[in-house]
Amino acid sequence: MSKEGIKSEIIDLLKSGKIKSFVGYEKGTNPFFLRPLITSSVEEVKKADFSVLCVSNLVRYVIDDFKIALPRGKTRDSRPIAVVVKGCDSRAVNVLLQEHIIKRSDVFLIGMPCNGVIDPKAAESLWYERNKTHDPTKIRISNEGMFEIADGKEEIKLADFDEIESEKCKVCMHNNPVIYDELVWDKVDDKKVTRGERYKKVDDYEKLDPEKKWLFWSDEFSKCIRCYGCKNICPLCYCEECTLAKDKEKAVLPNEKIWKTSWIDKEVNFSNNVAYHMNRAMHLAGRCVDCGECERACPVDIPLRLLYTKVEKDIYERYGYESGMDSEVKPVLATFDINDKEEFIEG
Amino acid sequence: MAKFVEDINKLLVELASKVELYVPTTNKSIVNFEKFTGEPFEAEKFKNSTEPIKKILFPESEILYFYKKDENGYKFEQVPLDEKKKIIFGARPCDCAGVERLDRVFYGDYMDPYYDARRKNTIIIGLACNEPPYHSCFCTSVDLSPSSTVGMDVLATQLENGYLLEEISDKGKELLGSSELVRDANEDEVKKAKKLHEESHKKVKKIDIDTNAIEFESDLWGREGKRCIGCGTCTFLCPTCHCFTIEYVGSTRQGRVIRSWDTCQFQAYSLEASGFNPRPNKGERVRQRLHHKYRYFADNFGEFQCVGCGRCVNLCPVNIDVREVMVYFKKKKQKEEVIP
Repeated sequence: MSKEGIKSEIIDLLKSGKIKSFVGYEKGTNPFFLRPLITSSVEEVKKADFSVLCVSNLVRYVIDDFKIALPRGKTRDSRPIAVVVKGCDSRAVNVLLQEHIIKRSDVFLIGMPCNGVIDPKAAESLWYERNKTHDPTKIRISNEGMFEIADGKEEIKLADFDEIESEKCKVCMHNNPVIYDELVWDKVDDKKVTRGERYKKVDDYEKLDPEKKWLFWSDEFSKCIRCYGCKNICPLCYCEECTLAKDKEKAVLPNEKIWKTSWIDKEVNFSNNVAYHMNRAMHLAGRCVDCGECERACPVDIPLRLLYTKVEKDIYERYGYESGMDSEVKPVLATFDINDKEEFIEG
Repeated sequence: MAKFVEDINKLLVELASKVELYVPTTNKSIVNFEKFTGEPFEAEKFKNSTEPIKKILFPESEILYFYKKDENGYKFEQVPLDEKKKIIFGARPCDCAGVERLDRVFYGDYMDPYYDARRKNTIIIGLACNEPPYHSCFCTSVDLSPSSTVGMDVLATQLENGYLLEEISDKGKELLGSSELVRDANEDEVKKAKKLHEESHKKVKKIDIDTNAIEFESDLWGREGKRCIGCGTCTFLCPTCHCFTIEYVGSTRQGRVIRSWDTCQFQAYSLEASGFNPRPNKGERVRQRLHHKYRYFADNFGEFQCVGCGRCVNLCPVNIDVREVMVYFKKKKQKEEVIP
């Protein structure tokens, strides 16, 4: 398949009514990433693009579709949604399937084998540093690096791809989608990242003594403004009512109801922030697929991936389990095996 | 009469010895206004802070009062108001204008004592942008400029050999008059600053915003809403957004009442006690945000509730761009005018 081929297939599927909408990427006003395109119009599908700028995890929009409030008497259109998935995103689909949140027939998966996407924040700061014209329309980013289009057609190289590649992609072990219906282009070779390389940052972090760890996270969590960007962009944070945010309940009176619906208050303070992030990390244990969207969405740059990779490493070392690789197996924390390590009970 | 200071850091040290001084401080990859620690301020490296200076005057959470119940009923304890003298140095003109917008709300029909205590004890020294710091800047589109003085007490402009300080308010005049490090500026320096201001103004990309062109019933809201993830980044980090919620923290016997930032982008914001939500989907919430910024506020106060800092554009993880929306409506209106 090719880019154009896949687009015409989607258009055919839309026209025949086999899918209800398409979730892909389109060029927006931010030159450092392609923004999500959610549409059921044939004209708009033509705007879709596939490149190293496809940073978003679009699986979130499948979950969102279930959450749309409909007028009385209307029911949800249950036809599948065509969604573009990279390696990491496809694993998120698997987790949702494992947890019976969606059915396989709810999605039509367009796999996009990927050799890494860029880190928009890193690219942007390098661009400000190295470019002179400050014209965002004159940027070209490809898998060769970041270029500035100068007068005429001449291009000036501003950065190598290595410099702007997303951190999560540098340690990615699954470059090809693990579940898909159609591929945009041929599968790519895996990067052959070893576990040691993948968990290097976590290893370094683990070597710190407890006081230093505490200081590190105190500094990071006190920055949090609790915008809930990390939670709202996460494809696996699908709860109707989050225990860490007053999503549905707006109880303002001091009665017991507050404690039942939310574990923390709206008050932004260090204690609540720690509770929020620690709870979220625990809830993502054995589930997080490291798509890195939380860290990208965070406006105050909290290194959330470090937190979740630590949890991922623990799960891997304990149970040899990797999240989202197979939609048929049971989620690791929903199973019991007599050989499971449980040294934490002893002593 | 404009003033001039050669070494800004000497002045900052002097100010910090008298009052609480907030300067842009780098913390890893983000910059925020923190208390001055003596570390020299480098204007070349500073673009704009991630969080606007709103946070100093209107913190994300603050305690309003404590309550306690005994045999005689509830007792309330007032929290002392924050009346410490503060100086904010280095706020960009857009953020300072944001404070002026907040004033209109917090000194509106009802004066907010908590805000007032901080506001009247704060002196704001703005810093003109000699170069628009981001490609998402659009202050000139909302009748401001990289050197506008709205909401400031002093406007500082960086020149080659120091800073030109223009007194804007009486508070600012008093502040500059009290320092010996400050001398009168000569004509040449004033001219140079003016030239920088004009050049910078031209560099900001201008778009046309037409309040009357913004539609309520439009397909665009549905499209933008589908993409929106419903986080609070755009509103929490907006210099002019001022919504808050009041909450009881504690038990029925004792606890505290707090006020925290709230945002129209959250589902619970407009949820009614009956369970009905007039803005059930994200499209309606995006519409509310933009209508409030460019229509309702303009109707009430004659100004946009937007200062063009571009944070919502730049930090939105899914690229919802207010400039794009405004251009869309403007173009649509123009087309309709041509073909009636």
